[in-house]
Amino acid sequence: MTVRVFLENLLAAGVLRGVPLLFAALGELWAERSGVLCLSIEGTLLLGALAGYAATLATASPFMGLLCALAVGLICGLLHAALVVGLRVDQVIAGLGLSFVASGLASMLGTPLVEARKVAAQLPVIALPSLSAVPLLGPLLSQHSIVLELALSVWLITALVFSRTRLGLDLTAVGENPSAADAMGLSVLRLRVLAVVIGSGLFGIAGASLSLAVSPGWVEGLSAGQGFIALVLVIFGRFRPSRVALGAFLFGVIRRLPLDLQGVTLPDFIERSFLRGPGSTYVLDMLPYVMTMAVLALQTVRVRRAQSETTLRLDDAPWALGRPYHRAARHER
Amino acid sequence: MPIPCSRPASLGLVGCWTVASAGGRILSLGCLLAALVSGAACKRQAARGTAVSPTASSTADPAAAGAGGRARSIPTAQPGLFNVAFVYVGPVGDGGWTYTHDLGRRALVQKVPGIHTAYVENVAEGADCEHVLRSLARKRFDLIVGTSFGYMDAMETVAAEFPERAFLHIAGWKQNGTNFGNAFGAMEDMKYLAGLIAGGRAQADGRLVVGYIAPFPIPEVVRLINATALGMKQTCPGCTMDVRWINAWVDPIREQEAAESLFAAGADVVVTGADTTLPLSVATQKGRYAIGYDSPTACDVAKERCLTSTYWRWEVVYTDVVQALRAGTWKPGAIYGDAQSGLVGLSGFSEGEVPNPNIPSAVVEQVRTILGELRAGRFSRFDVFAGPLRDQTGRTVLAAGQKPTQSDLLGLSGCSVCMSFLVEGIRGTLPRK
Repeated sequence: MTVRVFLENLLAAGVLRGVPLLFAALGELWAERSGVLCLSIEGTLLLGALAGYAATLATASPFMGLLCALAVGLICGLLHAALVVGLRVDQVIAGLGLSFVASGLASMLGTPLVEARKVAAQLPVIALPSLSAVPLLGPLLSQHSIVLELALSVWLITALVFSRTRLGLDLTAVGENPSAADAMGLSVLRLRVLAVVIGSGLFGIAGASLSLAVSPGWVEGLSAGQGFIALVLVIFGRFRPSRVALGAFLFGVIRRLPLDLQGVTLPDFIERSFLRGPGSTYVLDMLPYVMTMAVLALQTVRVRRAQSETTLRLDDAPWALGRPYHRAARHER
Repeated sequence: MPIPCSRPASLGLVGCWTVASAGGRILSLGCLLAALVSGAACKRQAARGTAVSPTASSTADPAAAGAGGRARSIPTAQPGLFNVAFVYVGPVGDGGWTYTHDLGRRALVQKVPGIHTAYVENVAEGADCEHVLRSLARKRFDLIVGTSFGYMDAMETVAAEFPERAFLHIAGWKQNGTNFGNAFGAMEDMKYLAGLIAGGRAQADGRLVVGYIAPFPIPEVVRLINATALGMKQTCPGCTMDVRWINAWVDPIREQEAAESLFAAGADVVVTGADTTLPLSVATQKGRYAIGYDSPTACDVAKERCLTSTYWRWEVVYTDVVQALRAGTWKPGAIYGDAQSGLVGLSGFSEGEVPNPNIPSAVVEQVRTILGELRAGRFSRFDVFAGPLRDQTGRTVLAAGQKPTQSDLLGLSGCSVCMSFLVEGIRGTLPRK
């Protein structure tokens, strides 16, 4: 296998693996930019994967499955919003609780599906043979699941909303300083509910993109912790849609790397090192987290360099992230 | 799965601490709640009842609420019945290894009257399984079955602590002669036949690579890879085998990624040695072929592209052991079931079954012949590994006419040809210890 074929395969697979991560991380970004931490991500993702798969089995249409997963995500979002925005329950507790309830529910409802051993249709694959000559990206562009286009459009819309629209500005204001936003006449409650519901809907779609395209099929524990990687990804991308998208594809490629490396002969010094063999997967599994820490550390260094400038902050997280808003309570900055 | 379960637990504590330190929250209350919530998560993993007892006991065993704030409820035994508890490494819904063990458990309940069974799923190898085993022993289960290789040392320890209980370990080699025995089977026979089929298909397609998804570099897995490669060489002398180590027994996404990686590297057929059925769907997606593992019905998820499945029928062992225990005749030792016992099988090749039409017909005949010999006891695993046998560097491991012993195949201490080499024709590397 030539280096070119190796890289093409790696990119084609890695980018597709990044798609569920991208949906989930963008969903989390919507919620977090408005100041709500959505830890329900893993559970909602699993439930979405199951709903998408089950609905596709029932209707024979993967698009119905996708819609169903979206609907399940939206319902989970409404529930989460009611808890953390309406009732101002602690966001960490409520999010984790919902996540566990949802993943338990997915296991329970999914057992008959495992027993039934039926196969659901998959989302269509887009074939563009004319693009197969593009260097490195050829195999990916010429043949990929439609979820890639869907993910890229969600990314584009998210990026546009947060950079170009009034809604994006309002959501950011609510996430940074809810009291000020409230004083300006914005409805903190309504905006946060909207953000959580949209975000959670994206978790549902992330799940369906797994069970109907990227990891076709259903088994218990299908998501295997992807939701938590998406959570880290938002921090890695420093709450900006485009950096999050880049991170999703990068993380996808990193996940695939140790497997593909097993199929090639490497220079002798690597063959003899600990990087060879199954131990290497542990090392590479850590990489997303190591890279996230590196990004955070780098930001600290940059802030220190530009000490006089007030625009740079140590932490990119919205100031009100994780804090329920209560109009009567005093919120000091 | 144990990993996603422990992650939120620690994440919850960290998140709690962050929120508390940032917003001046009630730290202790938050953390307590987080721990409770993560406990609820693991409840999903905890025992569910059986035909006899619909739900697990709600009283959490204090011993089970151990490391990392993880709590799980341990089922209770039913007085007056013979109680059997199963400890599973993955979820029952994996469609493969654990699912097949649970089919065995259910068949046991059907076949043997007067027994009560319960199970605990998603139990990680290591410290986690030790306290689950100990709690089950304390709850007065008469027989405790552990179904993952990595439970071995913990089972040995707990068996010594509870001499009045019986312990059966699947896939290991340890035993203590009094109350702790092991059981496994000659899956290598079926993997050899799977290798014949994979090689035959690769030869017909002219794509001379067969892939293997390998969980961990232990003798059991190495033996199965080698048997598959030896079979492959029979029907496709020019074929090579490519291996991907995934470092897990059950990890749906990693298993699929390994299958994709193998197909991308040119494999025509991917043989899986891991727990779930998901790699089989990848074959459908890529328009290539796969061979399933563990369950006789694994191929249902990819009817056209899954050529066969090498499967286990655990009720063969479970009913025997339970009946011997109740009759007081059980002698804990090493059970090793072969094709004659019915513990191992090949889907599509039993009475009344039709093999997948994508298997070349000459190969179907060849497989049927050898399977007949295996069932009649005229051919065995020792013939599969008979010399001349060379490893991947070309070194002769067994000269012509020589056969390995059982401890050679199991890689036990005292073996001369231990299962620590990959046979000729395998391209992957065997990770060194």
